[in-house]
Amino acid sequence: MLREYREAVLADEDRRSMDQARVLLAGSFCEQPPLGLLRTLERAGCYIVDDDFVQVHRWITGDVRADGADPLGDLVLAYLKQGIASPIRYIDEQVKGQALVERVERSGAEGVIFCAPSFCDPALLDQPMAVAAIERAGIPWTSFKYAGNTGQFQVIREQAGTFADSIKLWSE
Amino acid sequence: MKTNELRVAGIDVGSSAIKVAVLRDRGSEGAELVGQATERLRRRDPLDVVDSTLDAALALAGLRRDELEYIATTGEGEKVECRTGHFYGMTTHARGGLFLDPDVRAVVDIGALHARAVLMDERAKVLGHRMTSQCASGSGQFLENICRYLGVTIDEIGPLSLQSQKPETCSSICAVLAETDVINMVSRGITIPDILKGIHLSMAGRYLKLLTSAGARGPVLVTGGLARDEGLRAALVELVAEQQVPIEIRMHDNSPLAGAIGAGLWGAFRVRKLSSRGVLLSGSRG
Amino acid sequence: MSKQASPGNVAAAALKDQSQERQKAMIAEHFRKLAEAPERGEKCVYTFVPGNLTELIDSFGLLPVLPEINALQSGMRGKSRDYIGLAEKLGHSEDVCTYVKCDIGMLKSGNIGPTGERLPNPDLLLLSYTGCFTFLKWFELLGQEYNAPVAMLHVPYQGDGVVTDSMRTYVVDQIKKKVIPALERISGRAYDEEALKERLARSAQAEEDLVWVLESAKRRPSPIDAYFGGVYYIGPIFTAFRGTQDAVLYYRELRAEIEERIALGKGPVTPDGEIENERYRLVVEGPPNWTSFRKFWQMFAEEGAVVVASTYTKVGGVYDNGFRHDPNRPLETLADYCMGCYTNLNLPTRVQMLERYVREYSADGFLINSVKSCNSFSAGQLMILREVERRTGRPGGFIESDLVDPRYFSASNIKNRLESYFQMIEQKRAGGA
Repeated sequence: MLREYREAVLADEDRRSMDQARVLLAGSFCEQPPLGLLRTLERAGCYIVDDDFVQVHRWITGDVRADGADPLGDLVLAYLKQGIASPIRYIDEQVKGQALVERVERSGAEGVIFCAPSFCDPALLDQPMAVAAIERAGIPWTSFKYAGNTGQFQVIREQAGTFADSIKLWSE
Repeated sequence: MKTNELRVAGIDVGSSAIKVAVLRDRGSEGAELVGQATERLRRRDPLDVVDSTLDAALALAGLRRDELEYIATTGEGEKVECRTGHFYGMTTHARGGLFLDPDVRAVVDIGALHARAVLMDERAKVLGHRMTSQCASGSGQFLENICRYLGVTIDEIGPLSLQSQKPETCSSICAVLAETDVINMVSRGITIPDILKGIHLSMAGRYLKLLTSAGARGPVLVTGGLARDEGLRAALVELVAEQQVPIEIRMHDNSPLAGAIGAGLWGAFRVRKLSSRGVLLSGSRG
Repeated sequence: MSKQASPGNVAAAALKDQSQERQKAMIAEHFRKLAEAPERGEKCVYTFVPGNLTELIDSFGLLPVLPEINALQSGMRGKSRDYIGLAEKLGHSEDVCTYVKCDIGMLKSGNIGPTGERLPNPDLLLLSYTGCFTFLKWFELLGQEYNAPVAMLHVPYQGDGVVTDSMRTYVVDQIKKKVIPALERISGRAYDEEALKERLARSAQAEEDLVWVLESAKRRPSPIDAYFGGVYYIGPIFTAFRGTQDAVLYYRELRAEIEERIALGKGPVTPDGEIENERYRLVVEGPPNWTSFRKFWQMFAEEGAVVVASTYTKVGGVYDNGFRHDPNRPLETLADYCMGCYTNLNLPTRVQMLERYVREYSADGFLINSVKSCNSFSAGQLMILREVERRTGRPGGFIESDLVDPRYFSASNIKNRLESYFQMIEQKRAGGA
């Protein structure tokens, strides 16, 4: 499917990037938010250049050791030591939010949208700490919650539109 | 074309009309509106109307699409394929308002579905805003419904309202109830000008509340589709005087075009900002 | 409370019992010590009620601070609305635990504790993770606010309903390798196992008396209310006093008082007097609401409803299943204690516990107070409701409120629901007769 997608993208000669704000979407790590929400954000003037959707599928960074004598042990170690920084993990001695700041830099995002499902404890309890780190780094951000079962995104559309405008017009 | 000049278009996709502004922008040396067109939707697909309206405005400006450096959309224009970028309505009305009247630091944008008061600084950076809630009262759509009850056209509303001698207060702020109110008034023999003026005053009261709660002072430009309605404007001026609010209501012939103008100008702003960073936009898809 | 509204179930206001006075004095003394701690160079450890290692902390001469208790006290003293509002203004979501927001709000308002004295900053945040994910985030937040070190004690969930040897070893290892070194570091003292054993022995004594008191509710009429009254009875043992001589004395005294009530055939004491006519015997699941605690209690007392057993009074330790702290296995017993806390139990175990309570305490029904804040309680409660109803044949009731956010306590709604619930019990009785 990926291959087909890649070919289709390359075949479309008419592709051009629009003038949109590059944003990182944080807080929807448990699942993929409704497609309508993503479409709304893009139409409101944002390009989502990084996200944490379905984070469990990309939990382990790098390769798990494949030539050790204790494969189970290696799997456990990879889980413990090579896991991504996420609100759902407790990491000793971490600088909260630092990993997010680094992702912003890597992806070239111009701002962060915290977009968590309502009542998502890990995302929402974590957010003030992530926001503090983002603010220390001077990165613009905004936040809202969504309900998984809704198709109504008018308020989000307005907020995302204002945010994209403020990045495009006033960010240094 | 002058070396510093950018040619841009702004497309404001409203829920009842498409408005297009074509501008020549010379950055700090100002900009000039060189073409404009407005077309009512009349139940057509907005995307179909966009093309013809844009072409009409370009024809007036003597420009082709592929000569434009930026096509900016606003309003419901997020689906317009040919856009270079999209700006949110609040941002564009502020910019358009400042272009039309450089004295103003606030606009009240009155559209078909909602109204909002926007505060800005001297660069048109939005500093604050207040919006009407989701309900339809106090919007153009509401006024259109009333017209249908009264059997008058939209264009007649203003002049009729100005003839009012003894405006009949509209007791309800709910659109549904207000419509019932109007039916009652008709059966009680209240004249159409008095009914319309009453409605205008009730709407103006809501806009004034938006403006004062947003903290607006000094000259305020009315923008959006309803800016055309002189009866509404007169009601606003009257209420400002009556309530002694430190606001001066202003209008401009091109007030309904403020969103489209603002979008175009922000497009030019973006081209300059990005090129100063060495980024070139791929322009419009002609 | 309006006496007219009372159908004669509640008698005139009672004098405070001696045990109550003692508890009050213990609390006042503890907060005085906390207020003076910075001046006297004493160190303090913030920790949580479930899985608290009070004997261990005390054996190092350190003072425990329990943010949950401060939050509930703020709720009872009418401060939580402003604290929560302040925290929300600072970016904490309206959806999350109100204990956390109340605590953050209190901290941002000068950290004045329940006795009006200032609380010391933590020298260590001892994060005992017992079935409540919010605890992790709470102490991450406090760690950032106070720039204080966090010692994490990861307590495995009883997913299969049992504690295995490897689970126990896992916890003991962490206590040895993580918790004790952290306590040694901040106290400057070495671990003293004998001191710990002494405290654990005193814990066991107090636990024995506490269980006796809680089980006294099996009698008819019950001499106690095991939910609203129960939260006072668990106070010392759930907070800063487990393992102290004060706690031993408190529970001995409390037991004697209850023995006396039984001898006199008296019902439970409420803030408005005694319940003289026990009409309904209930088992309650879930924490109480603290902002309208008294009003909430009145709604029960006025109807002659007595709570004979509750799960909330097991949140800081389950003792009525026979568990006692065992001085002969000091670290293992602490591990077992942590793993046995109510929120660390899986749903089947919780259902079993409720079923047992309904039967052993001859309850007419059971009621769930589902609080918005607390997912570790609320998740699964509807299943629990249906299952306990099915197994016992007694009617279940469901009400909703919150811990310390007064916006989520609707007195009229709760009263309506309770009234119809009591009617349901009456119908059941009539039908069964």
